Amino acid sequence: MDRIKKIDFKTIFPFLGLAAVIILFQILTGGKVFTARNLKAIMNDSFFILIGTVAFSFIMAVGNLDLSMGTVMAVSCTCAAFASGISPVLAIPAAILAGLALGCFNGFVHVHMGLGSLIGTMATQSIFQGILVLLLNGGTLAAPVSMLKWGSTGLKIAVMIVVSLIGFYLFNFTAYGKQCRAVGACSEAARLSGVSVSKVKYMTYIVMGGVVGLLGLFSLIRTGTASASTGSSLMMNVWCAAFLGGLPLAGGSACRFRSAIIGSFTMAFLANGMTLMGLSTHDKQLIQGIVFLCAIAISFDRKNLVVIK
Amino acid sequence: MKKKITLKKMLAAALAFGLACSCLAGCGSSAAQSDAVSAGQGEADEQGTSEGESFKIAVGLSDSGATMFSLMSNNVKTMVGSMGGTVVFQGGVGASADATIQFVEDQIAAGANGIILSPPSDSVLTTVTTMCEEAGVYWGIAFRTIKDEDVKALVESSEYYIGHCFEDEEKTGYQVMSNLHNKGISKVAIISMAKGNNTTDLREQGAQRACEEFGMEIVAEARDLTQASDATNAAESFLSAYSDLDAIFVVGATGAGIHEAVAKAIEDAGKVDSVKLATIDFPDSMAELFEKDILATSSGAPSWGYDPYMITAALANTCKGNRISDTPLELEIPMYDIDNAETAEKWLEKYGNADTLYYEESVIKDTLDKSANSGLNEETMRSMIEEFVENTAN
Repeated sequence: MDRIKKIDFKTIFPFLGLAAVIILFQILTGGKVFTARNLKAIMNDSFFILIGTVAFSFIMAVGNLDLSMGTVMAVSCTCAAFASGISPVLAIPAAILAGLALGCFNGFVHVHMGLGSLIGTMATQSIFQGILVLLLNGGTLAAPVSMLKWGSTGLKIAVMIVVSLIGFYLFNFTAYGKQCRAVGACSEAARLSGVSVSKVKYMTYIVMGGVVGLLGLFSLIRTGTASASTGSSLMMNVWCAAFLGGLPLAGGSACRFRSAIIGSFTMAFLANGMTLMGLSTHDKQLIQGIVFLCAIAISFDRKNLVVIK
Repeated sequence: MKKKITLKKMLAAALAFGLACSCLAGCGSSAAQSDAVSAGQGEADEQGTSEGESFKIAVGLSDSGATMFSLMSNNVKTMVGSMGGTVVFQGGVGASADATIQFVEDQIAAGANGIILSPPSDSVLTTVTTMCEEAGVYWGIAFRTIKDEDVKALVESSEYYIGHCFEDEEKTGYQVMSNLHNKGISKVAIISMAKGNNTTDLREQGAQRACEEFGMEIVAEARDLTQASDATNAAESFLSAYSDLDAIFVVGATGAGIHEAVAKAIEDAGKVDSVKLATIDFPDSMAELFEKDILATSSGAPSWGYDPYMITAALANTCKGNRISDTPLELEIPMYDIDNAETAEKWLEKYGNADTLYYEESVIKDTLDKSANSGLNEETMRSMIEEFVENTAN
């Protein structure tokens, strides 16, 4: 009983949030949430959010942010579309390598140029957007029709599980995961303990870039198109999922990997439930904004106000 | 031994149990649906309805907030409602491939029997075709044509694609430039959508054809503007960089207030006498802009919403089990020019009000509903369109 009393609201909030969203929409939609077709839609919704949030949780653990993930995804998608013109198989390495390269650049800007993650990735987002427009010549690029058949539900589920398991293992059972949280808690203490803070921070952006590159590939498979608007909703969805899941802005030891999973499913059920209810785009934006605000207000660590590093 | 069961663990276990139950329920539902299909609905997992049952149509069109969107949605709701169905609108769909696919996926999951969309590019239609075929959902296209021949062949081979309603965009682009040429204009800056957008690409092709024919020149361009402030910046740049500029032609944009922002930039620069505005689709402020002598010409469908209205009518009939044609419909809406304040006022009296109905409910039931009018086919729908355009012009 003592253990139960010690658990504060912030800890159980993500679980309660997911349960509340599921129950609320199950009631409001008259039981439409749990149909085979709708579960498939939820799975597709959560695919991009969950994988993005898994990678983002490492960045948040070190106390950083990433504003450029949407444009990294778009550039990766475009590179994949170009490569698929030569051979569809080449799209896979092209997307991941492009993501890794852009992630590496983000790491360089933050670590070597000494810019804060918010300002640094804001600048790189603009740079990547410019690259994207140049690559696409202001237009769109289509993938070969044969590639569209790759996007089976089974493959997506497999990729979600594999990425989540790798993320879970890296976050909880490797020195790297612990170092991320140590850097987020106090980078100076981590440095004095022998952790290469720069290397850890660099790696979070490289991992993010690689994973978002993979999402760029799946976006191409899903839509058959690379355009300047590809990935435009990724950042908001991932941020919302992270905060709804309870990942603290300040990073550090309070970060839990389960937050990424819980938050992603909460976001997916929330977005899907609003669609099932027939809400307009503007209503959805309003509700999503309110939920985002509430999630930050609840999970925000006011004891550590220097959150934007 | 004390059991250290925390509230977190209990909640996690409860959630895991709930999700597992839901997955099993989903699998059961899938099996039930499969049984229904094999019992006589064909191979596809049908979401269509038989005659007499209610049906739901999802319309995915960008919501600019302008009167023309409200006019369209009111009319489509009235028409579908009088046929016994319901309609759901979702804005922002045509803006990106991601949003288009998400819209189709979500609406199929939400139980839509038919879908109307305006795709941002041809390539997205391959996936849309597959998704609608798998779900057994009928669908059609508003405003757009399919340029890519391979995609067109694939889409038109699907029994769930009912056709499209469109305007001749190339001709419209040509017509606007031709009207500007007749007013002595030769140097034009354009505001358009990103390259690859089917509609504006064709409009620009038409504009380019007019340039070659009349010796006109497109001196500058700005693309993919979604906000009025972006349009102001673009117009100010045009006006300061090209002192001999004659007109700014808004070929296409998705945001609200784009035309008004360009007009204000021209006014603020004191160039009302020398620089004119040209538009496609009639802005709410059209009459005022003609009065101020800023707007030189505007071309558009007789009413912007009439295009999705007619293809939705065809889709509603299909959802009721009364398909209009066995082959995909090709319904073209002729474009209509307005170049003075008087005509603009008359037009606004008719279609500047979101409550105006294209057809009264009784007319809809007698003419557009095939269950009451068995003679409804592609030809009669074309005749209705021609009559509508004539009535608007008079």
